Amino acid sequence: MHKEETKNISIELVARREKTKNNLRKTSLLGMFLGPYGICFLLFFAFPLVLGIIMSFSTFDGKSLFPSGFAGFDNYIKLFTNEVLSKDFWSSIWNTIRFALIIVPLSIIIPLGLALLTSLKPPGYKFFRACIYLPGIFPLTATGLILLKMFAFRGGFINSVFNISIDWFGDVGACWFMIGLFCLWCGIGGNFIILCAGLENVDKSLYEAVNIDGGNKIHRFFHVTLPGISSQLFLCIFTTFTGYMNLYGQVYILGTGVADQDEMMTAVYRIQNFLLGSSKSYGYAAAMGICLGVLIIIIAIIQMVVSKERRGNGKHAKAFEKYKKSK
Amino acid sequence: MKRSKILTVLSIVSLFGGLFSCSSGSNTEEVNDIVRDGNGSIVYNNVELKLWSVTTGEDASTQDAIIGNFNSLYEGMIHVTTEHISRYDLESRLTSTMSFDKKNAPDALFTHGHRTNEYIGNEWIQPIEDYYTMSDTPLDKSDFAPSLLNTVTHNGKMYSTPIDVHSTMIEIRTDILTKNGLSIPSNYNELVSVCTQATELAAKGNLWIRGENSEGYASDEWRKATTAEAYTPFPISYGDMWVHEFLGYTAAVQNGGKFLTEDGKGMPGWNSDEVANGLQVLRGWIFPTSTSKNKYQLSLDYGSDYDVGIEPFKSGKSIFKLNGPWVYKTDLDSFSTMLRNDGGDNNITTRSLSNMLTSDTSTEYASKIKGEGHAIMLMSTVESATKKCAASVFADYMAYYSGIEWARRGHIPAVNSVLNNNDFKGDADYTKYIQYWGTPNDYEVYGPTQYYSYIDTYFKNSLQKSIASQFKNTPIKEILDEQYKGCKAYIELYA
Repeated sequence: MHKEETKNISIELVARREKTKNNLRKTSLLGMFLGPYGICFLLFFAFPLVLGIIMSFSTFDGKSLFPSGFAGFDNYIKLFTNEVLSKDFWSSIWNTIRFALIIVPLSIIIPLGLALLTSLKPPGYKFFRACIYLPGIFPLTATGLILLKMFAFRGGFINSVFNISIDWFGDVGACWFMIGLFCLWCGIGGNFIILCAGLENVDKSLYEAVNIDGGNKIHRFFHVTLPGISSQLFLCIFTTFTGYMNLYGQVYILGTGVADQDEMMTAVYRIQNFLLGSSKSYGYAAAMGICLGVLIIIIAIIQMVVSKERRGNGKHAKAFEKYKKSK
Repeated sequence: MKRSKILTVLSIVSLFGGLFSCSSGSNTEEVNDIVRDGNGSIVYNNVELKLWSVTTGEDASTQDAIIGNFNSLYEGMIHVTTEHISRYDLESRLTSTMSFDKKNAPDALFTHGHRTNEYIGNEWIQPIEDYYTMSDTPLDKSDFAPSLLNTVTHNGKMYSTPIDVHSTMIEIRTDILTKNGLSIPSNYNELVSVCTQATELAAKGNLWIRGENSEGYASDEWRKATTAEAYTPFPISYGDMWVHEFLGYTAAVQNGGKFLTEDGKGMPGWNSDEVANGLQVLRGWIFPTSTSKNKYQLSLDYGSDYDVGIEPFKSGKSIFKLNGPWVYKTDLDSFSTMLRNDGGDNNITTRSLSNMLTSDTSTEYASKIKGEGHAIMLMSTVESATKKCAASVFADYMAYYSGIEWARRGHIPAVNSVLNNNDFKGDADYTKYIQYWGTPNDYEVYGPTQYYSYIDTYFKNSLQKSIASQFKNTPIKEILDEQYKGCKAYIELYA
């Protein structure tokens, strides 16, 4: 009896040790996979976010990058009430939104059109696919400098060839046009690849079904292709929109020659300007950053709600369930 | 769950606390480690000075040679190690180093003197003047150009040692002037007259020009300027660095304008009729009106283009161009090659902007030029009194012994005694071109202000708008007032 009891205990001990070992192995494996990401997430997202929020409630004395005091909501209040600060910040937000409203649809429609064309797989379509993606892998600065030279006001290649006299980087409207062109040139490649992949996955039998039902090409596009790539479209719209709400580099490269710089200021460009020089402006810059972030989140939520409705929100599945139950 | 919430709150609170406690404190305490020899002189025993210098490119090489001479002279006593950092990176490097990494801060800075008061406000530098006395280095403040001394002075103390001053300068195609019977202008009225004559000669197909071309002529072969387009002898543009860094300010000063208010508070003072008159000269330069001194365009509207003078000057499509004095030597070499069969670099000369932007040359300010000066600053992080004295010895050497080598790079010495020295004046390059850039007393730099960055940025915006085609119908005073309002509002926001 005593022997058997001892044996049971040792079996139990071994089992428990084994279990602990397994748990440890699982945990360390999880740690190994998630650890690097977790550290990066904490370092480069969570910490800056918390720091940014703290900074937006702080004052700075210009002598240090660290807060010198607690400001409460003062920085936020000034963003809405101080004449010059509110004018500069909200006008830059408006510039950004206006640009995003024009560039986002173009950044979806153009790559979608190109993806549809390449999905027809004409001869050499792989080469064209590579060519469309290629501008996106060149550094922005290099492409920007080439544009600056090509479109220079006097002696620029474009003005000379077409015998025109447009100050592409001096006139506000022309410069925004150039920035748009720059964004499309360098930015459509990513969306193009995503939409190409989406088109590949559209169920081909649905096209046959449309044909049988007597649908034409327009019906095929609106009733099969578009719903088939709706997830990819949503992803493209979401990432493109948030990307252009943070527009900075393209304007910095092409827009510094405009005499009226206020007209060229995007939200991030304005914030970046606040971060140059003395740290006295850091509190306002942080508050601006938080406001911009909140604004992007609000617009993204609206976008999600609208697109959820568009994508059906499971209403067809629910209707089918209801139909089955009624039977 | 409760415990984790408490922990979260605690960690946020500690982060807050940590951040606020990390704020930089006051300046470091001085360590009196001075050892004197039998004669009472300080013993410098291999004192290492770490210098950050704003110079780059060929300026950096020249400065390295000058500092090399200093190191040889003080071998075993003081040794200066230099790190060159461009003007675009220096501010951010200083900000982060003085906030997070003071141990790696430099001991001394070689940068623009007009930054002195901003740096004092940030507690980054300490007065160098005290250590001149302690190290028995003679300091004659009256020898420095008043404007340069004023900008580095705070509460009566010299915080940095002015080394030099520079601005943009005018390059002139003397071969074209001589060939067409025109003379080198010495003031604005003469400049306009020469340009008018050249433009009229060109319109009649009688203006002789030469230079690089794509029409099949040799570079030194004379040809007639085309009548297909108006001849514009002096290209400028608002996108050009020479214009927004120096020309606009000089036009303002020569017409009686001031950068700062005269109450000593360091506030912007450029929203005046005098400054508007100065900028009107530049607007008329590109868009002449019935009230402009010049009847014809002196420059095409180059809009946002930059370095607009280079190509027309080389091709003979213009007679004048703006340039940095530090590249004049390079241009001389270039003309030596291009016109080697006919006078080489003697076909160009240079003049300063003195009297070139006002029609009334009788005033005391007509000859003034907006300049930027370099100065040596002593960082607040230096604790050792011996090191501080060594820095003052080094600053004194740089002010008095940088000499002709530094001047060849376009940097006029800040002290008059160097400029009046026979060795300096006797140098061939001084006779050839340095003499035309004037004396440090001709230069006007920013006075002491903690708000330099804002005042400078908003003035440049005003200038750019004033001479941009989109705003050519907007009264300049209106542009200045609008920019002044924004500038003042930001200064008050941070006050």
